Amino acid sequence: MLFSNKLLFVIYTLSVLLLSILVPIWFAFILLLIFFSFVFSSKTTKAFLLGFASVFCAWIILMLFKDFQNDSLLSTRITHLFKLPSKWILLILTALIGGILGALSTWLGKNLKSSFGYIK
Amino acid sequence: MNHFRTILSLFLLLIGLYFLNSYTIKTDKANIPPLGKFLNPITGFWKNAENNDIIKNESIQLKGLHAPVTVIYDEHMIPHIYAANEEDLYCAQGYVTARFRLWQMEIQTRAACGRVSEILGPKTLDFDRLKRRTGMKYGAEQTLAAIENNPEAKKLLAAYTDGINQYIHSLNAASYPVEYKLLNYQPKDWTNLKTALLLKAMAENLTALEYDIEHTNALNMLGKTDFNLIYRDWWDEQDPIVSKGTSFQKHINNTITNTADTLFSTNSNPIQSIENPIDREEDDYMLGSNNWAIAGAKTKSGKPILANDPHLRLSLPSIWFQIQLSCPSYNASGASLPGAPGVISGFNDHIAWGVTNAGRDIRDWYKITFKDATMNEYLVNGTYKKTHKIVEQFIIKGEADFYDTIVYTHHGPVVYDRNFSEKQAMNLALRWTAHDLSEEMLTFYKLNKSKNIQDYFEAISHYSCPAQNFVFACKDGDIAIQQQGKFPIQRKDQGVFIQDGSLTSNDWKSYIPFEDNPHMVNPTRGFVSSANQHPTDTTYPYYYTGVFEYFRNRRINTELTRMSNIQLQDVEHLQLDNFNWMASECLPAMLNKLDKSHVNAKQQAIIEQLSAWKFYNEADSKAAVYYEIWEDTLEKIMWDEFMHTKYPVRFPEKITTLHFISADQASIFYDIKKTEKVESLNDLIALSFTYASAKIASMPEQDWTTYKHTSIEHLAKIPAFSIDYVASGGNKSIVNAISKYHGPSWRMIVEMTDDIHAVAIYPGGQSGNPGSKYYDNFVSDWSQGKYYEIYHSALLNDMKKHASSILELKP
Repeated sequence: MLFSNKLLFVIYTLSVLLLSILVPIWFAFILLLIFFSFVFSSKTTKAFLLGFASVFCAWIILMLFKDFQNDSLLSTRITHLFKLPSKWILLILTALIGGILGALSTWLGKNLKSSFGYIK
Repeated sequence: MNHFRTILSLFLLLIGLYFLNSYTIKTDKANIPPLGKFLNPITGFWKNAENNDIIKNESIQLKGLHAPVTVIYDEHMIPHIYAANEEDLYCAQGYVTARFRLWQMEIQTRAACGRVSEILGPKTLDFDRLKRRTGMKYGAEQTLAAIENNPEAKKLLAAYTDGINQYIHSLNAASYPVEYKLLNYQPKDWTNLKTALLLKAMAENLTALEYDIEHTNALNMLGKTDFNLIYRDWWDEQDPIVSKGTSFQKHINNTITNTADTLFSTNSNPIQSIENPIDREEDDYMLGSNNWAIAGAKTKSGKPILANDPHLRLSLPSIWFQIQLSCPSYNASGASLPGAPGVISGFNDHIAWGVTNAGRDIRDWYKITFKDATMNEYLVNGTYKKTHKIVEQFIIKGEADFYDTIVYTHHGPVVYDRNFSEKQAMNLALRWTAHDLSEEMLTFYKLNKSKNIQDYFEAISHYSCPAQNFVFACKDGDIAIQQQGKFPIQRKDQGVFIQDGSLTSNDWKSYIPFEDNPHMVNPTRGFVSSANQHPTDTTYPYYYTGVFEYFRNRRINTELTRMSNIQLQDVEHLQLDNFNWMASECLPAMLNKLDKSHVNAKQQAIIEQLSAWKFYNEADSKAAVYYEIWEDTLEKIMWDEFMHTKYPVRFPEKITTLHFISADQASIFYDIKKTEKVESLNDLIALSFTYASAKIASMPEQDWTTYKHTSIEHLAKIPAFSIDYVASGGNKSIVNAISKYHGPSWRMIVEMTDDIHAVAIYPGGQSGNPGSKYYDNFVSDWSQGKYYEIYHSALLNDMKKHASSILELKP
């Protein structure tokens, strides 16, 4: 194992954050995570968790940053729009969406490695 | 095994991505956009959450500029645009307006030309069809043709359109306004036609004040005598725009042959054959406006003061966008319409102007007799004339395209026919001045540049629809008002009912000449004013009909007559005046005729409060609630004949109600149809008081603002982007005309001193973005009757001291 899980989590999260700032395609992280997971392949559960947690956290950071600058003006309106009980539910729901796609991406990356990774 | 997992994970990922990025969840109430696409923090709504703290200076390239343009944003985010020439100025106006209001501009023009179904799906198809059938697009094309005939105007409009498009082209999925994300579609390019459509939308908004169809039904229901009793053209207490007793001239030698319309000369009932009565959406027309100009003789400074507050449906984003436009040839400030170049209600370094709606009927309906079901020919003076057909395509989101054939006659489009509804037995064509070639844009362009009263008259001479009362004041001391529009010359009662379209004697043939339109210049009384009342008394040499107000104007004129040594603050007080003139005439009669011998303690308390009330609908007034509930109840039981009718009829006007409440003689209208008894007026007053006091007793105790519950809705009626409650006094028919959904959409006062002193406010904010603190930041101050100083200077360096940020536009 080249990197510890903690370090991988930090690398994944920071990369997702950086990509989000640079590329205006919201699901661009999918390709990144497939690639990462292919390279740093680990057990299924671990791949799953890494993908989930990195996107979940990156998105939470992005949202909190925006929300803080905006004094929650828009998040309050959108919470109201979706009839959610609190802004935090909106944040968690959104982060879950990212997290699930993240988990599926790393899982796919890991599986690709198992399928094709050792072919030379 | 491994391959199976790979395929499974790929499959799940693709399904998940498809669902989150492309799948719209349809519910009964609304469509929920693809969740991932809308919610994600990279391109979703979070990108519209503006940074509240940092306002940064910017420098942006705008192609096609001849010289750099500087835009100074003041603390209210009002742009002050300084350009080297008019073309650059309009380009920058388009660019800057789009930055703040793009979605609003697009949705308003989309609605006007009947293209809402493209984004909302089949549920809005009928709305779209009616817009096309009403000839909104057709009218806009006519207007555009007239504008593009003038090379100068064409060039400036093109520059404005180009500015908007350069903004649109700078956008990506992340930077689209949030409504695009919510409704999941993309902005399309702006066109000159869209600007023309916006003006047509205003025309429709302000001139759909005719009741030809409802009047025709009412005539059938009531007969001629009673019809004339209820729907009167004129009541004598009216105080017209041009003071009573002014003598009028007639500059046209035109004798209208008094051929009575065979369709409606008698009580015969021509529309009994309607299987499916035309049921037009009923709107309590509360659109109106106030404007006035006070001569220097009545002001403290010795210079004229001009005031304008157009009352429209209150909305977010606001209908108005405040702006200053400055270039070497002129320097204008005021309210602009997002999507139209120039300033609509405002002032420049020499003059000030403002508008109110004329309310005259300039839409007539004609019954068309087709030869056969093909609708290829229609009857005109005993012979058949060919129709012209246009097939309109409707793109519907999620469904196949729909095609509608619209038949045009020499009157105009046949709005209602079998193509529109299978059951439609009568074919009705619409004649409307908004369908004609017209140059409204030139009027505003020229007003922006006017220097004196001659320029003002020249500018408004280009104006035809929607007819407006243009008030004017000038630094050199002149004040004036003119009701300007294109008005057909009509015989008495023409345009009140549906007319027979097979007789050319019913056609519009000529129009009232410009110099005969009602106007007043520097009157001895020292002011001019309008508040949607009749333009003239009955000695005006041309017949007209329409929807006119009787209350606000009398309050304004009484106050302006009384006032002297007037300062700007006094004018603010008049704009904010909550005196209920209708109540002052109506309530004493109601109280007087009320039998007070059997009232209980609670009712007694209501009577006492009402008797002590000074007729001001202040926000905290309780008596105002009692009066409004009682008057409303009385009106409904008195006019029971007009409610729940088989065919739509027009509900009697407030002035008529007032006369029937004050009257002393019996009338069949006092009788409540469903009861055995024949009621008298006093019975109605007693009964309505019983009902009203029971309603009051059943409600929690509340003040006027709570009961009235003024709200400002988002244009797409999204509650989360709307303001549900705005504390305020006033009501319709009160100078401070804030009712439930309508009100002063722009309040402006300009004093024509050497350095012009002007204040204004509107119920919204400069930004159209619900994620901006500038979205609704004026609303609270507006509801409290505050005004903001308008910073106005022809000098860029003077304006810099008010800058909160600067935008440099570079060629």
